[in-house]
Amino acid sequence: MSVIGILFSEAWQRKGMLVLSLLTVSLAVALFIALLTLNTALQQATTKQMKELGFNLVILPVGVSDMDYEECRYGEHSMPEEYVRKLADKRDITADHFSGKLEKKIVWENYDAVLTGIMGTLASGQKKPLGFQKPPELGHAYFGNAVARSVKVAKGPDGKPLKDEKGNFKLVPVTVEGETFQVEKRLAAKETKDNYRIYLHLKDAQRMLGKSGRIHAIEALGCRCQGDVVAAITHEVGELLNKDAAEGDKVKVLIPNPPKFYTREKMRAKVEGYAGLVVPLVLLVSVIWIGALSYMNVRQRREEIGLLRAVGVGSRPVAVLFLGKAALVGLIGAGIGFAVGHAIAKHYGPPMFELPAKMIKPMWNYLLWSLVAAPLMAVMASALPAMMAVFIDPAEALREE
Amino acid sequence: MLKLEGVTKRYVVDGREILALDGADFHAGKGEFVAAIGSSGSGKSTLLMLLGGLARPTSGKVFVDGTDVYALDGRLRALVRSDRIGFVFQTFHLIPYLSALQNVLVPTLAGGDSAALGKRANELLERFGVSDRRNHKPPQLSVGERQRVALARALLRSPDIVLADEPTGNLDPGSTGQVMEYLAEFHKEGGTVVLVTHDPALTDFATRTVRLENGKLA
Repeated sequence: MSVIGILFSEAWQRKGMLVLSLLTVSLAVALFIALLTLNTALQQATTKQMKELGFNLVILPVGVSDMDYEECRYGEHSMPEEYVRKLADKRDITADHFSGKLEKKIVWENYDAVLTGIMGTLASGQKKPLGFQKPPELGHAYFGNAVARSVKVAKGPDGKPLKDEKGNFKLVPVTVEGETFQVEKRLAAKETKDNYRIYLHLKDAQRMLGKSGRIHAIEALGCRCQGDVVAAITHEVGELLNKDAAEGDKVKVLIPNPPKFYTREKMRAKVEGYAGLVVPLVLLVSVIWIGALSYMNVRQRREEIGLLRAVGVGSRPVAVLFLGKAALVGLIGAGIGFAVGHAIAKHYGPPMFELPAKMIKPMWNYLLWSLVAAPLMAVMASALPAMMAVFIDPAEALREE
Repeated sequence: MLKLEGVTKRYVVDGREILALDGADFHAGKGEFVAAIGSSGSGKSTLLMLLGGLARPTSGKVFVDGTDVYALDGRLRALVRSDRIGFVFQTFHLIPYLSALQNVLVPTLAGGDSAALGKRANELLERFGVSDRRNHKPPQLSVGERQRVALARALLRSPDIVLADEPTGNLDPGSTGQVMEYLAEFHKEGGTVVLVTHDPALTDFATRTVRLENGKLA
C-alpha cells in the first residue's frame, strides 16, 4: 500500500469530485490557451499582412486631405524633411519604419506620370531598416511598369541591344522635366498608381521642384500593433512634431484605405482588454473552487485521516494525499485544457478574426507552461485544506460517526 | 507498561465543556489484559485515546514503558503508535474504497518492509478466516468480517499493545466470540490488551477489571 495507491483509489472512488476538479482546471487552462493561441496567431497574421502591404500609415501636412494625397495635390503644403529623422530617432514610437517623399504629377511621353522623390527607409529604435525602399542613386531613376514601356533599350552600332556587366539590358538615359537621368531599373507591375511613377533620389526631386529640405508625406509602417495604433501614433506625432512647429509645418496622421487588420487589431485589443479582466477573475474563481473542493474532501475524509494518524502515519503522507491529488488534477486538467483551448481557438478564431485557420497552430511551449502552472495552482489552492488535514485531531475524528 | 498519572481530560463539544477523565490513575503491566468497564459517556474511549498518544491530557502524564508520551514530538509519538500499539474500534474505521487486504496494509504507510508486511497481512487474513474476502471492499463485507479485517490491521506491525474500544459493540454473538478469542490469543502470546466495554460479560477474558464512572477510575 502506498500514498499514490490510496490517492488513485480515492480519486476513482469519488469520481464526481474528481470530474468537478478536472473541469475547473481544464476550463481555466482552456481559456488561457485559447486566448494566448489566438493572440499569437493574430499578432503573426497582422505582422505578415503589414509586411505584405508595405507602408500603411501616412503623415501629411495638416492642410492635405486623404483625397489630395491620393491625387498628389499638395499645393503649397509640405513639411521639413528632418521630421523623418526625428520620428526614427524616437525609440518608443508606435510605428517602426519611416520614409519621406516629395511628389508631383507630370506628363511624360504622353503618360500622366508621378515624379516621386524618395529617401531610404529609416528605422526607429534598434530596428533594422527594411530593404524594400532603397532610393535610386543621384542622377538615376526607377521607372514604374507602365511608364517604363517608353524607356528604350540602348543598341550598339550593329543594332543589337547592349548589356551591362551583369547581363542586364542597358537602357537609354531619359529626360524628365528637362533633366537627364540614367534608368536604374524598371519595376514589376503593381495594381496601383505606382506603375506610373518615376522614382528619383529625394535630393534630385527637391532640387527640380524647388523644395529643398522639404517633403510632402512621411510613410510609416506601424508594426507595434498593440491597441489602437492610429490613436497612439497620432498622439506621439502631435507631441514630437507639432508641439513647437510653425503653423505651416504641422502634420496629421492618416490611414489610406484602412486595411482589414486595423479592424481586426481593434477587436484583438478589445478581446485582450476583456481577457485582462476575465482571466484573473476565472483564475481566482478556479483557485477558490479547487480550494473549496479540496476542503470538502478533507471534511469527508476526517475519519480516514484520524485512522491514519492512529496507525502512526505522519504529517507528510497525510499532506501528500491531498496535495498529490491536487497536482494530479492539475496535470490532467492542463492536458485536457490545452487540447480544448486549442480546439476553441481553431474553431472560433478564423471566423471571428478573419484569420486563416492554418495560422492557428498548437503552441507546445504553452502546453509545457500549463503542465507546470496548473498543478502548481491546484497545489496552492489545496495547501490550506491539506494543512487542515494535517492538524485534524485524530481522537476527535475517530469519535465522530 | 502503560500508565496514567493523575490525568484529567476536558474537551469542548458545541461550546459545552465535558470532563471526560478526572484525575485518573491507571496502570497496565506487560502481558496484562485489562478491561475497563463503564457506561456510555463514562470516559472509556478517552482513556484509550490518551493511552494511544492520540489525545493530549489537559493535565497529568501518560507513560508507555516509562516514557512520557506527550513529552515526545508528534513524529516520535506517531512512531510509538506505529511500532507498539494496535487500535481496534467499535466502528472498525475501515477505508471504504480500499479492499480488505489494502485496509490491512494501511499501517505500511507509516513505513516498514512492504514485502514482509504484505506476507503478514495475508497470513492474518487467513488466520481470521477472511482471506477469501481479501479483494472485497468494506461495504461488501459482513460486520463480523469487517471487525476481523480491522483486527488484522491492528496486528499487522506485530504491536505489543492492543487498545480495543468496544470491539464487539456492533457484532452478533457469534462474531463477538470470535473477536474476543483473537484478542485472548494475542494476550496469550504475551501481548498487552486494554479493552474498554460496557458489556460485563467480556470481562471474563480479562486478567483485571477497572470501572470507569463519570471520568473517575475505580
